[in-house]
Amino acid sequence: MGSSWKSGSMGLERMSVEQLKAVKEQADLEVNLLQDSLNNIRTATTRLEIASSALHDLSHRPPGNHILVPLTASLYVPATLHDSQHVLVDVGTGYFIQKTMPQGKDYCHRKINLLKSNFDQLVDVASKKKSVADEAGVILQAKLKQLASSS
Amino acid sequence: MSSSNLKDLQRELENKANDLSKLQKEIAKNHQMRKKYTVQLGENELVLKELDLLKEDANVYKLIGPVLVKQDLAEANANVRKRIEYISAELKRLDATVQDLEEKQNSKKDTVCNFSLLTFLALFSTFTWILSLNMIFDEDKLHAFSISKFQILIYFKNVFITREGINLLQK
Repeated sequence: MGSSWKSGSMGLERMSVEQLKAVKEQADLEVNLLQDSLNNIRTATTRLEIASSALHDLSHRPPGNHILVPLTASLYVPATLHDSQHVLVDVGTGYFIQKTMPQGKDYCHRKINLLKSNFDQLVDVASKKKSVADEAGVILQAKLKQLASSS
Repeated sequence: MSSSNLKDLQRELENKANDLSKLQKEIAKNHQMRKKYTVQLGENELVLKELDLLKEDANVYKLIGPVLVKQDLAEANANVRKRIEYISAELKRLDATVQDLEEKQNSKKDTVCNFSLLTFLALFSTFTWILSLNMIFDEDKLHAFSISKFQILIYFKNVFITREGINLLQK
């Protein structure tokens, strides 16, 4: 990566102001996109963590426990807990799978780990892109200054 | 060069620029579709991975409207596989169309560039060039073909110089 990166910055120095501007704009756009993706991953991870803790909570309730189920945000109806050992997990595209408590927790943890590894990869890519964008910005500024002083 | 001729040239240039921007819009739309399909493909693959992990006797439900309907694991598996197949095929198709559109766009870009040069040459015989530049090319349009006034000037200058050279040689 190091050698190609160097040749990349050399290429930047040889570019015209117009090209540099285009490169900078493109890089900025990509950085923003990556930042958005990172945020999305972060929210997804927190949601899974909440789900996991809810599962943990539920597994400690004995069956027959009285609970209030929210029908709307402000309307709750009383109910009794019938089965605290099985849960339905939404795995996406409309499919739900019945799992036992430990399986459900395992699912959450697997997803969280997957997201974390994706997150780390993305952070790498994002920081590389950001340095390219910064580099382009610095060279662009220098070129503009040069142009201003020579004219 | 008469002014009506000039107007024709300008009109034609505008038409060509419009065509180009239409193509660009189409490409953008295609890209968006592609993005959507890629997301769906990823989601389906995750579901398939999850289904593959299950035991034979696992209960799988499919959300149809507001109800959950119990489904056979094998059936669900086949469904997801079929969907992945379909989406992959669709992605390939989109790739092909995007490539096609991009080729078209490039050729259009060339014609627009050449054409704007032609118009410019025509204008040059009537007005001083800086003035005419400001008249025909507003910044937005130039942005559409991603060339700057400056580039046109240089482009034109080169052509002009070669023309001068040819004239001198002919003398």
